Amino acid sequence: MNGFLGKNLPKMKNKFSGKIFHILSLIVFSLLLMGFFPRYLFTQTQIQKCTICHGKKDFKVQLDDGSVRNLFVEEKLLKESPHYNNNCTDCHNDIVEITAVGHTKNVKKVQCTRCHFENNPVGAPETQMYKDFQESIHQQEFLKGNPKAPVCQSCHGSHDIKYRKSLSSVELKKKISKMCGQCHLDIYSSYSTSIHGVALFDKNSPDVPACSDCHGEHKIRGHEDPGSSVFSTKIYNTCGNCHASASIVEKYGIKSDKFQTYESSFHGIAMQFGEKTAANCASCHGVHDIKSQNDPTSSIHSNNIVKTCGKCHPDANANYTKGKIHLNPHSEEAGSIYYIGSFFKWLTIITLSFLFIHIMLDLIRKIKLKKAGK
Amino acid sequence: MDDKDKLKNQINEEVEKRLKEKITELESQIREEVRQEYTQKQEEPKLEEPKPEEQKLEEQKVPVEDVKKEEKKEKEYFIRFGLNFRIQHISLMISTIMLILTGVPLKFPKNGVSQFIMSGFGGVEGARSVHHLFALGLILVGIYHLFYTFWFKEGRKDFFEFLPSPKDFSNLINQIKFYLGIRKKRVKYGRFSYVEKFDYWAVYWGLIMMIGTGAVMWLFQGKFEPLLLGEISLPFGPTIITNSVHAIAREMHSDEALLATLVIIGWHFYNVHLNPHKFPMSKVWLNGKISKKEIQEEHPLEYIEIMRKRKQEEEEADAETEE
Repeated sequence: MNGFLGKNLPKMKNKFSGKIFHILSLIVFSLLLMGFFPRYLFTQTQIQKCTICHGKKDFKVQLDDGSVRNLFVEEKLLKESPHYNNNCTDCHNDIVEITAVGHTKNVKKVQCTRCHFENNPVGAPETQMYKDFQESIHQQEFLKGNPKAPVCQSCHGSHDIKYRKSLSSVELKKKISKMCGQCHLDIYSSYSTSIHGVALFDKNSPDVPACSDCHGEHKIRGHEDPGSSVFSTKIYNTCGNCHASASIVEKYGIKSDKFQTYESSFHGIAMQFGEKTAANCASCHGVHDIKSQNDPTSSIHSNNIVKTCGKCHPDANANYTKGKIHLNPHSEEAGSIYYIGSFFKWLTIITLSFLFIHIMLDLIRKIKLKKAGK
Repeated sequence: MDDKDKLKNQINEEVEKRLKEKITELESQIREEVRQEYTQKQEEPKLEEPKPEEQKLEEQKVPVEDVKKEEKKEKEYFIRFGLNFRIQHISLMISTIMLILTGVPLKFPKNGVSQFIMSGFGGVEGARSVHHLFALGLILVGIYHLFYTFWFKEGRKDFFEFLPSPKDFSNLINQIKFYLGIRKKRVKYGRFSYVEKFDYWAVYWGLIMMIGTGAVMWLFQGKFEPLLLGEISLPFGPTIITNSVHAIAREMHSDEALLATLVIIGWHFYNVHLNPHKFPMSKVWLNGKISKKEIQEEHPLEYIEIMRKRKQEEEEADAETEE
């Protein structure tokens, strides 16, 4: 284009030709610039337009129910987020015109799935999470019309969205716990005083579970949903994710055989046969308020354990709990049981070997006699 | 000379005649023996399966006229187990099968077959109620057997026959020698061989272990729910059994159960079903009968004893009639 203009310039021979050239070249240059960075330019202009109002820190509106909603958007946060490239109406797409009195008041919630779906054309990270979320109890509640049900931005944030990698594991877990706690306040308070919560908030342990480690992230289901990771027949596997792993729990002085000993106990066996009423980990140890057995407020403290058993076994008395609960008969710590087990193991092996040899001798002799007889 | 020759001829004839008589006598004796042996051989296939054709042909060849008559006499049965004993065995068998079905799957909860069986009983709760029901059956069989051992003449006699003796050990060694071909003759057993004595005392040991440890666990649990229809509280309740005692009982119960199951499936099934001489099944547990051939082969000393007693009785009866 420049060449084309340049060629024609001498032919014009106008006294304004110089000025026109300057103006034209400026326009062309800025068009070129916009051609290379159009989004940046539009975003800038768009954001500038929106921030006329939303950039003011005291920009608030009174809602119909009388509450006040802060409408201030800190531009800096948006610039630091992964969405720094997007402009306001990319997400708030229902705002089409801005008049002198502002835009329509019934602005809808932002639909993240406009971009975040598989094979999307705009280059947003491709993810299946939105599909997982469809099955979650949060989405189910949302579809039922529960105004408190969370959507994507309730947890991920809206303008201040951050990359997951930008936080350390401990910080992330703390943030997740607090995030869930915004709505689930009771659970948050009991979690934060539990052995897991204390380890997370006070000891900054990176291994303790935050909410999402047990409940899942996007596909959180109700605890009465058989598909839930915390359903009564599945919770022991969920706990086992960490408590069966020596590399995770043994550095905290917890034995990793708890999972296996539960599985071989009567409760665990009944559980594996689908008995929903059989005790699972949470039945004795508690759910969010899990505490060390040395803690006097723990459900498995020696003062409380009879009561805990009594939840299911009304006849339980002190004798009921005398002795080790998570007993591993294959370790020598089990004492007499270990030796009884070994005795029977060898009794079985020796007896069956003798009987097997006897049967084989009998069979071989009978075959030989039959052959000789013929 | 003629007279002499005549005399000689006469003597020769006489000698020949006597010799012939002797030979026919011997011949008939041999025939008798052959026939006896043969008829014994015939009895086994008649019991279990149709005779092979070869033997049928041989049967026709036997030139003795009164074989059939004799055979009927010899196709004799002996009562090995009385009705009382057989009912005990059947009760024990049913209880044991049900206890194994409702118990052993608990040892293999991840196994698909276990899952199938357990679901068939309506889950662990249903299986437990069935297990307790048949446990009660097993306990009753055990108690009744003790009563039978003391009260009935048959029971007392068998109990003494079951007592182990040093001869069982030498029999075992001889039997192994026979198996290895070192010994040519079969080992002669009395009413119960060491195999049967082992089986009997193994059941004794098993019952004591299983009932003892099972009772401990049952008392810990404290309830009897026959087929989940009702609930009966057991005496004492969980108050006397501690958790650690329960854990020991459970370990023993579980281990002994597996041992017993394996012995029944491996050993007992071989002895009474899969053994080529018994296949597909020894019927003694149903009709209590043992054939003459079997008793002569497997319990020859008992057979001799029975025969001796019969003869004695006959003689006594004869003596009485003569008087």
